[in-house]
Amino acid sequence: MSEKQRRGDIERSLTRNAIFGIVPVLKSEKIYGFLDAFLVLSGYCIATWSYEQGAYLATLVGFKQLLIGAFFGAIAMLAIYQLPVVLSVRYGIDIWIWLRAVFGYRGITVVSVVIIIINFPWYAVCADLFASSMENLAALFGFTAPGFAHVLLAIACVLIGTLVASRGIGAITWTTRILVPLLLFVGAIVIVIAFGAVPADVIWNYRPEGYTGSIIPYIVSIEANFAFVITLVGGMAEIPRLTKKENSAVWAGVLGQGISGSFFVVVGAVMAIAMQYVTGKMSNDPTLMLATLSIPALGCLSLMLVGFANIGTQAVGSYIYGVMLKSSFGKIKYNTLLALLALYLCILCIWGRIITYFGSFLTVSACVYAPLAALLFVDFFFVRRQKLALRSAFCIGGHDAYSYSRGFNIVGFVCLVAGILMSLVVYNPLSCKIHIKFLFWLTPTGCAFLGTGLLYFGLSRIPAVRKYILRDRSEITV
Amino acid sequence: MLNKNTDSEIKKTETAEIAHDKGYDMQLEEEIIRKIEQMESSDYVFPQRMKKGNYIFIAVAVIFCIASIIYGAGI
Repeated sequence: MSEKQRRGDIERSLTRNAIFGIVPVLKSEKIYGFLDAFLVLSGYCIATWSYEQGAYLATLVGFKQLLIGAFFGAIAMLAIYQLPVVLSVRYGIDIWIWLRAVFGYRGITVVSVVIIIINFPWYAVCADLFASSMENLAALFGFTAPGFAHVLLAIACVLIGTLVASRGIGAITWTTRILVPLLLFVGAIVIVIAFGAVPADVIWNYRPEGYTGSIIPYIVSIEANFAFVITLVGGMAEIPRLTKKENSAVWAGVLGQGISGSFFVVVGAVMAIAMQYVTGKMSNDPTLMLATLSIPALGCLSLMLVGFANIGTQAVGSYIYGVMLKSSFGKIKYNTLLALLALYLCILCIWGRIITYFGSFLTVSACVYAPLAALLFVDFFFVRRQKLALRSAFCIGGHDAYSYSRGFNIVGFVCLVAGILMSLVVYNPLSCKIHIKFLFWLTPTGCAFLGTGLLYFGLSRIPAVRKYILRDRSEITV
Repeated sequence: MLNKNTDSEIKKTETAEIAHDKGYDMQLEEEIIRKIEQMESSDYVFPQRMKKGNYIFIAVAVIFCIASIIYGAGI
């Protein structure tokens, strides 16, 4: 390889790194205004898991309470925990670069891998439901798919999404520009069909079976909404990093997930309620719902609704988590990281029991995200006060403010573990047992968020701890 | 002999890759430093910041959402 080719290779890699990885993105390199950021983040949220969530909420509360929880619950949590994305706009970095200050430069690798392991099963669920919908669609047209087709369809969803992600942010942007408005339109059609197929007051005045008026299911539903939106914390900064204004980035995140994402949760709930009224059984499969409540040909709409939505989500998710991993494993190529993520998903698809064990995955993940989001929030606004030692954050030679104890920030890890325990002490999501009713009113996620934030802030006020976690102050330059 | 040649070829390739990686790492670090220095320079204009009014609006939105959630408990 000639010197010229070698330099060309390196320059290309560096250019890719500005988008796919760790190099700070300067103001002149940013590409997103509010609308594009909103569409990409909406594409990230609109997926089959929204229908799962909608159907789940419909088993807990009436339709009016469901609407309040899905929109106001989601927006309240998003507006608080997404505020630190301003750091990504300002410095052009991912939150995972900032979190090196909270967990240490080695500690952050552990945390990011844990987040990937517990978060990525969401995408296997999408792939699985994509396969189910395609099989139902084939059945509508009189074709019975062979047994092995399910796994192949699920893997196809993963691979197509990964392929779009590998083409880079341009492909993702164009995919979401076309897809998201189309999906919102199709979602609106689904609502119209559902309200047309059953009397409107059946949906509007819906109450779940065995409704007693107790407040506990309502709190559980608010918790489900908080937990649902906070799972996005790990990948919340990759798009803001490329956004031109702080205000645009914050509102794109809050509205992309709080309005578009929640709208699809409500679509899922409406489908489930209408299906229960017509067939006596709740279903969150839009193919089945459209075929039952309308005409079978309308099942084709679900091909667009479920198929494209899941592939779009897979693409944006692979990009976001690929970049997140790139922040921790800077030397591994972006496409290699994408391939590893796809491999993990393919293994989960072949295993085929992700839906059965999904509750466990969700339980573990919900306990981790709230403390993580709280640590970032408090560290950015109240401990480090929006100032980071960038050279140490990027591990530039001679700058080791974030090396702490052999690369691990003990204080950050103590708070993370304490936050997880706070959530579990209040409520056991496996047995659905409430341990501390007074704190349960704050919801387990809300309680863990507040508790972790207060603990970290309190510890940061102790002089010895403050000295330990704020050893970067002499190095602050921006 | 064949093995020796193969080993030597592998070693050559590995050395070239390591050299390439080192070059890449160094250039990457230089690029990061260059970007940080640009941000540190007095004439660098940061992206438009959130204004106080934006924070107040978000706080009002959060309060309104929480009030709606509390109202929802009674319906």
